[in-house]
Amino acid sequence: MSTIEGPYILGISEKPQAAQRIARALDKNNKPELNRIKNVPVYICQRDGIKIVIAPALGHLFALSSISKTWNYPVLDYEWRPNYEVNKSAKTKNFIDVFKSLSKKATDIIVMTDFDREGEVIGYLILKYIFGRDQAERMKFSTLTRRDIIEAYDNREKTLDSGFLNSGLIRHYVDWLYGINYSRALSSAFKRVSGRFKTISIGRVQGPTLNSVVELEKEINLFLPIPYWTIESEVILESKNFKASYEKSRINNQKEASQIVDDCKSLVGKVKDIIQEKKSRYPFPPFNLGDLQREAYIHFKFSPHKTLEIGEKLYLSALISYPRTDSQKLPMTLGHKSILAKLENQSDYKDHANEIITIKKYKPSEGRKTDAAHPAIHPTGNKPDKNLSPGEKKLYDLIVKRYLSLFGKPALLSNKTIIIEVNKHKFEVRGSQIIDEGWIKYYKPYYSLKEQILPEIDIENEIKFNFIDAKERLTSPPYRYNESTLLRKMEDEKIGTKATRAGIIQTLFARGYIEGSIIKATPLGFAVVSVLQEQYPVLVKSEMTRNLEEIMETVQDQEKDIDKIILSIKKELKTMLISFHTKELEIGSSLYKNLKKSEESKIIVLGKCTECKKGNLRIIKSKKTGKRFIACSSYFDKAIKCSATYPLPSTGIIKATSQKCSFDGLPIIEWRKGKLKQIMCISPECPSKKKGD
Amino acid sequence: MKPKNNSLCPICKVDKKSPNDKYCKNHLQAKAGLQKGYESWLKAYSILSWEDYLKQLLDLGDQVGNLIRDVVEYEFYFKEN
Repeated sequence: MSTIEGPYILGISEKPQAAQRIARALDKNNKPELNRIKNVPVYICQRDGIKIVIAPALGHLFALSSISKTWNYPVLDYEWRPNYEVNKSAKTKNFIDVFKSLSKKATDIIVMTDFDREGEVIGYLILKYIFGRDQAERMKFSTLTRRDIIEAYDNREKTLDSGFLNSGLIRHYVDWLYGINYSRALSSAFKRVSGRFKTISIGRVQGPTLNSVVELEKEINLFLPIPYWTIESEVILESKNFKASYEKSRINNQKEASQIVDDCKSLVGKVKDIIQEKKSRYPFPPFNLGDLQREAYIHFKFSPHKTLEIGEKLYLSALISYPRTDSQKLPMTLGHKSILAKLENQSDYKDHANEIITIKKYKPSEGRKTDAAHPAIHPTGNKPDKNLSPGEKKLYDLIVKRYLSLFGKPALLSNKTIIIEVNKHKFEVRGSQIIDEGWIKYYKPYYSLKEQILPEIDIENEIKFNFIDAKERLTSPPYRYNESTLLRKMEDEKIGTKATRAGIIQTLFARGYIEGSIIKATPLGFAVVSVLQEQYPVLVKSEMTRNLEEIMETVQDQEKDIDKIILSIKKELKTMLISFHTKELEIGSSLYKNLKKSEESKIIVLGKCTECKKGNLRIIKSKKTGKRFIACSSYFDKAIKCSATYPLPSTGIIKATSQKCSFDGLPIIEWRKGKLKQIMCISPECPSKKKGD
Repeated sequence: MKPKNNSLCPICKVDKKSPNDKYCKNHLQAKAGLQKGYESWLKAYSILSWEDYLKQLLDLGDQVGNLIRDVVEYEFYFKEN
């Protein structure tokens, strides 16, 4: 199939775009020859008189699959098979065929995949199952710039990184074992009771993550607001109004709050103290993946998954370094002077880069976190072409500005607090003046400071208040997670990895366990967690998966026998599955009940109420009679107490149509029973019904 | 008339843990929270009857958690329970 003449060194890259970048950097003229074999782009380059052929994979070309063909559990034996055989939608056959054909004339092989666990596993599986060997030379790089690629080629390692490889392989085995076994166990338990098959899947990280969402939802459902009071006041300083804060931020008793207001009714106080202090504010640490995902969510509402996706595109375009990193370190060996000089050629960053170069401060601020393979995310300095999408532009700008801010001086602020006493009650007026913006000017608009300059006042000066009032408030329920805060929760719980967390959240969405940008557990998510919490808590608690993470981390740091570790994990899993099997009937019936309830409890909102114009018209099932009817959600709102109700047919399926009746503006519903179907207004008095429409 | 089923929660019709329990597990938890909350509300207002407390919670609508609201509605409208 391949007509490329040998001998040559064969390079295995992870993706077609990376193959092109690497080939361009390695070719002596930066113009590698492109050959399309079975529509796969293969590059031929010449370097130091050596012919190098670089072919891409398409991410993973192999996947784990059960050896046994029967559908039961526990499944403990697996094998690697071509991805396209396991997953019918994978278009990887041609890539495997191309590697097979190129293998014949290759004298040597260099693995050029991304330098991380997955990159190591991708390279290793191609070596093992296509070339029949388990070692090759390895290029390690953090950016796809010419400089880094040439350096990685010149200093390539003789072997693969065993730490990354072993920890990557063990993660694949463990995730596969837990995923397949528990999904089969849950589905089988459900089938045993209901008689019908339904895929109910849960992974070792998905379980605890979903549990966190459900637990928070429970907390919100059990939330009871408690009243408290705050003292609100405003003072006049040099004829300007300023907000003053009372010494206690919260008062738990109405009488005490009224007493304070009463004590201060003169609305006149005296300055008792003035505290002035200078404060430095230091730059935020360089971006690792988690920090970048959070910041992109705050400023652009990008989901963590989207940020990672865009970050990878920017990396493949050689605009930023490798994004899957935990590191907050930027060593001097990265050549900051040269990156800044390149940024000086980009009009958006010209002035600030120039300022840093003039000051000659080339040592960036760093954070504490480290990563064995890659530095913190930083720009390469390469100029983006005009084809960047709006999302890519935004993320690139954020990364460059964060990088520039690391070279800035600390911001300097002068804070001033005036303490005023009114009849023994203390109030504070706080002001802040920016002396030097420092790094903040490089990071705008992603961070800014608000100034409040207070006038010059002397101690014992008399101060007048515009008002001092007590305001009644109520405590608020906890905030629901968004994708960014859920990712933080996973980090705090130490479940999943930087590379997998965003994907796991996406899987929970895809499986219908969670929904919304403000994340809520769906009735299905609630049902699955409540059954597992009761019958099989190990799957929803973080402990098991955290322990597994720790075991897998040790594999990366030390030379350990992964076969032994996998064997002990399999043993433990088998014991857990046997215990699951003994409870299968209870779990199945509990699942069946909960899923049935969750399907029944879905509230159908038909539209806005035309009577009160505030509430929603919802289909409700009477708790007393079990009969359904339509009622306004404002029934329990004391101010409205809308009593609008409409009857519904007692049998048949009812669906909302989002249409309104042309006679009375009420929602139109669709009613179905067997082959009968009717589209109708919800009002029995509707003229359309009288006319027989 | 249909006889009352004592094994079901009168609010959500889910099985109670024991027939002697007033509600299901979730609504029992809500009831406990409601009682604990009364102490805080009493501290806040110094004088407040249980009925006024329930009324005030009903007025708060969505600001009260769903499970607590279920119990409040049930206890307020079905005083014999």
